[in-house]
Amino acid sequence: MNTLFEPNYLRLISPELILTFCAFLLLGLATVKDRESKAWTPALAVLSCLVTLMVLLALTRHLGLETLRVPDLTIGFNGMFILDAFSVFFKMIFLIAAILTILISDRYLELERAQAGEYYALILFAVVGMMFMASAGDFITIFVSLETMALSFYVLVGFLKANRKSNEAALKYFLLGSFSTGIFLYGVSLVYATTATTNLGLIGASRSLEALQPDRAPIFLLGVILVTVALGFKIAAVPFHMWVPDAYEGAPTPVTAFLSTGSKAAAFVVLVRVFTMGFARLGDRWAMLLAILAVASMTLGNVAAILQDNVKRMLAYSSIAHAGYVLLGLIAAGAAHDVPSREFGLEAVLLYLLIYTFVNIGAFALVILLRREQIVGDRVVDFAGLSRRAPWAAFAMLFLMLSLAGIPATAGFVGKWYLFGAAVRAHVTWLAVVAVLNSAVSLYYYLRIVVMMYVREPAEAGRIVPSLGQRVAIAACLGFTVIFGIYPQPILALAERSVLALAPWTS
Amino acid sequence: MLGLLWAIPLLPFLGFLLNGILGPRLLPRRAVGILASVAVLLSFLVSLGAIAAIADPVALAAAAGGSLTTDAGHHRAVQTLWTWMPIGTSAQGTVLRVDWAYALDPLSAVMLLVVTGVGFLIHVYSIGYMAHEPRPAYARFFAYLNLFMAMMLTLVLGASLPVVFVGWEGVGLCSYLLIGFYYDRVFDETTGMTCADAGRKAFITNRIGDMGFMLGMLLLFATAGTLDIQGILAQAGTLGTGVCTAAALLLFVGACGKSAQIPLYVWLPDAMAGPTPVSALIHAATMVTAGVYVVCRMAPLYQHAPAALLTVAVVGGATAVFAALIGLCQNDIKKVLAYSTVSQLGYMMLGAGCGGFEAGVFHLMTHAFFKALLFLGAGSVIHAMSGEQDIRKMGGLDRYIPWTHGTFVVAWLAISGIFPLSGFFSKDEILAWAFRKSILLWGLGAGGAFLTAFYMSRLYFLVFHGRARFDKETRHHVHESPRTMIVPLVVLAALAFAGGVLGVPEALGARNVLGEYLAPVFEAAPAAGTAAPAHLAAGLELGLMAVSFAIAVFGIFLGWVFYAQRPEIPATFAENVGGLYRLVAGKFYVDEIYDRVILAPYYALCRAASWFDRYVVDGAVNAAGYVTLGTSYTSVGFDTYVVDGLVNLTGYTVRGASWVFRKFQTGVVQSYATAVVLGIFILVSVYLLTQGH
Repeated sequence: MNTLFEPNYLRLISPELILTFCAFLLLGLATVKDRESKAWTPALAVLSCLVTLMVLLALTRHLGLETLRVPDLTIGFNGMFILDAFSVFFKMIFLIAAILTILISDRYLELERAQAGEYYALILFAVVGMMFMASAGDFITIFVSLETMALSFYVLVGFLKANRKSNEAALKYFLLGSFSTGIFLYGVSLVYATTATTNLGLIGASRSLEALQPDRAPIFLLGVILVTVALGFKIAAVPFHMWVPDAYEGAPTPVTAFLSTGSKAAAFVVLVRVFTMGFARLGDRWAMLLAILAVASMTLGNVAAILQDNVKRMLAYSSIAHAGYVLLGLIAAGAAHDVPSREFGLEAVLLYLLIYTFVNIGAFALVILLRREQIVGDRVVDFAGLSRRAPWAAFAMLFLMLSLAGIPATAGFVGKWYLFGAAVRAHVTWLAVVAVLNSAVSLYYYLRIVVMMYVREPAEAGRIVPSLGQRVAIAACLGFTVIFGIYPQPILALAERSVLALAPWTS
Repeated sequence: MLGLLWAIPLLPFLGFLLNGILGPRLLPRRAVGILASVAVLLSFLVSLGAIAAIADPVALAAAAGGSLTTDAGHHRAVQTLWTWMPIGTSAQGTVLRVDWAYALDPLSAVMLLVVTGVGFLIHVYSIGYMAHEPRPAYARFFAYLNLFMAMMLTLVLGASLPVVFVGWEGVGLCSYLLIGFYYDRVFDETTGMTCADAGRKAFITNRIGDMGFMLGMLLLFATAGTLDIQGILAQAGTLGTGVCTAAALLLFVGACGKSAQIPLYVWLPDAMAGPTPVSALIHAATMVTAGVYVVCRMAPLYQHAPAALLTVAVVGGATAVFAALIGLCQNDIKKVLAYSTVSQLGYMMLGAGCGGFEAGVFHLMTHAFFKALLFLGAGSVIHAMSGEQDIRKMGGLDRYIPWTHGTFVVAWLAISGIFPLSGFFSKDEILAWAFRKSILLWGLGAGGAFLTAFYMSRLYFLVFHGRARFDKETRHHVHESPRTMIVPLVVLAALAFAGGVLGVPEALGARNVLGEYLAPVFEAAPAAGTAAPAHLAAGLELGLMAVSFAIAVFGIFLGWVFYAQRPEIPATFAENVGGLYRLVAGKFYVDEIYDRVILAPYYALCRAASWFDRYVVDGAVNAAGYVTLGTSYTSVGFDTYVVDGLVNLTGYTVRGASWVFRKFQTGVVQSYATAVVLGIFILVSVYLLTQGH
């Protein structure tokens, strides 16, 4: 354990290394003035993600998913990096989210006249950050990878240089993001002060018990709270959500899609890792803290979404509400007293984040579809009569909205069902009740879009023709929602097997 | 045919896909209608085959194997198609999962026949009724109609609550799409409500009910550890009265939404904004009975929860009378029928709530016949009147549209409860059960029966008799409907006339075929302690029958006097009790009350939340001392960052930066950060407070 570096470790991070290399390659290409090569950058970016995904899967296959549960074999760099099935699951989410985002970006950037290679490079850098977050086993790794992701996003949010909203969003996101980083570091320092380590495994194994001695407990717990707050900021939980509506509205729409799925999932992976590994023994206490955040997020998110006239803002509040739902699974993992129920809670978290990635990117893809010359297309009324202008796209949006609302026979229902079921199993039924009430409310604003598309006359005639990338992305999201809504077996099995990787710490 | 159970919902679904994808542009108009109808007809035939297969216990036991499991004693067959959601393992180590499975037993058999049979007739009728629509709308209509059938059949066949729930939400969605079919048409002129608004109202009201359904489902899952319906019912005896009552009441909230019971009935009259065949199929014969179906399906659960059962009975009885009262003063032909539907659904609930589940199902069936007939007849009238729906502008139509008139008479007498039409027997059975439970419930039922006979007679005489009150232009166009519309009317009339044969009470010396057929479904689990109420003496039963017959005749007579003989009476009557009349004609102002009491505060809450999110933190800055402390702390921290940020920003966009700077100077970002600090403060104080204990 004391070797600082072994050549073998490099194998563990090979997917990340490849992606980093690709990102630099794209950045280099961006400096070339040649127009021809620029047209190829999105394709190259997708290709990079696909290659990384394949390497990741090959590596997983080579090591064996079963092996990825044995702690000793998969931990590298002195416990700072963990390649287990759990992290592989999330890395897949990030890569898929990135691919979908790139697919829906091309046409949008053209219309915004912001076509540039560094955009794609930044997305890849963000993914590199997220992938390291998924594998981080130490507060230091978490901090560095979190910042890698966040810095990429600060730039991406403000990518539309000529757009005031985009600039404002970037500045706000940057300021508040830095603030939350400060809080995170403060929390980590308090935890370090009481446990003398930043390694999650060590904290979880014995140090947290020592830190709970009366003389140290208040400082240690304040550290835990501050870490919760900082991560709560990243997942957009109330009351740390204030940046979300502004940032989501101002950012280029594909970035918003990526921010609401990839970045949120990345924050959740850290949250899960920190709480189930490092703070596993305080399950009851942090479950209560998270319950406050969950109830506030669900309620405020859903209620405030109702009055929004801007679809991106509405989806921002919806995303706040969804963060609240997902917290239910984590709360269940903390509050439950038996191992199967804890695993069930985590499984629900994994499942929901995977589903949400597809559904939400799909929804934003539709918003992007409406962006045309001179028309921003992000108001609710812009959806008027879409069923006549682009019947398939409208059908996709109908399904995605129903999925977000959790109507049965869509993937969204399966995900919600697992989250609520997890809460019930962990005997926090009251939370499940609050969540059910909230999801009933949420239908109202999702339905507004459906009403607009199917019921109102279009303001202008003419069909909307999606680009190839948009077609592929929307079809993938729709297909995922429909197929796994009816037959969710494969993703359920995947989530179940991925969660088992955390077993040593959940028990 | 049992092996083909999966095909029953799938056939209409294929029809939906074909019509939805190819219909608007590729298929000829005739093909669209025929395709949709044939899909439902095939489903009907498969259902018949499957139902024949469960009738014989020996053959049924032999049919088990593969995906089929059977329970010959209860005439039940379950086909498991695939595992939908595994839930994990229970404390006892058994694997819990939700299967995508269809179950066929006598109760779902009756529902299947009603849904596919009546559904098929209405499909055929729609071919004629919708003939004037442009082709894309025509194809869209049939696609939605087929989708509805698929969802309704899923609801009826679902073997576990989540599968039922898929159908439950699915029919809600189709109902919403079909109510809003003429999306741009203004439907209610006084409120300016469009058809689309009506659809939305239906969907949202139903959602309140669905919440109950979902919570009930969660409760049963938490306590019984399974969601399989038979699994839950088998445990009903061990769950305890409290759990049973809570679960039964929650499911009943769902049933109230779907079956339009007090207080959630408000959506159904507005649902009449949809095309008339939709009103007949969805809002009279099938979907709205789903709530009654679920209550009957969960009958053993309700039998272990007497309080819940009583609630069902009281709500049902109250709805029956209340809606009938409102129906007295409506002038739109479809709205009269809508309130009548609400009232009749109340009847079914009353029957089920008094323990007479088979009576409820019996009335569900006969009601499907005569109410579908009434709606289709009304559609034919509207068709003949070139779209006029106000009964004050009709009259004397019996000469112009004889077939419609003849079939309408059958339906009118059937719903009024005239012997020996179907409605008499089913209503009588419900009244008998109510009488066994309490004389008060019987009184509600009998009062409802009188009102029903009266307002239906009013409708009949105003539409078909007396002076023609329409203008020359309309008179010129009045015509009998095409054959595709008349044939379904005649078939339904035959069913509405003779459907009662299935449930002739034993007091009349016949066998109650339907009651015996359904009995295995409703027998409570062996552990149940509730004994069935004693059978009424034959003499008493005959007496009750005579009374209900007399009530019906009296209602019709009064209607005849008021609206055919002395048309001036109602006007004087309305004048003399003006206040009361306005109250009833204004539908007791329930919609207005909901607007003021529920919607207005709710919107205020929404605005408050939105406002809170934007402004309250600013206010907090000024208000609270500790927050000020936090603010000063954060702004010091931020100033360093702000400078950096601005320097970088001015590099490429001075204008943008200045704007952002101005924005920043108003303190917005600070207040955002303050919210974060406030959050920390709350979490820490919550922790400290709970730590104190």
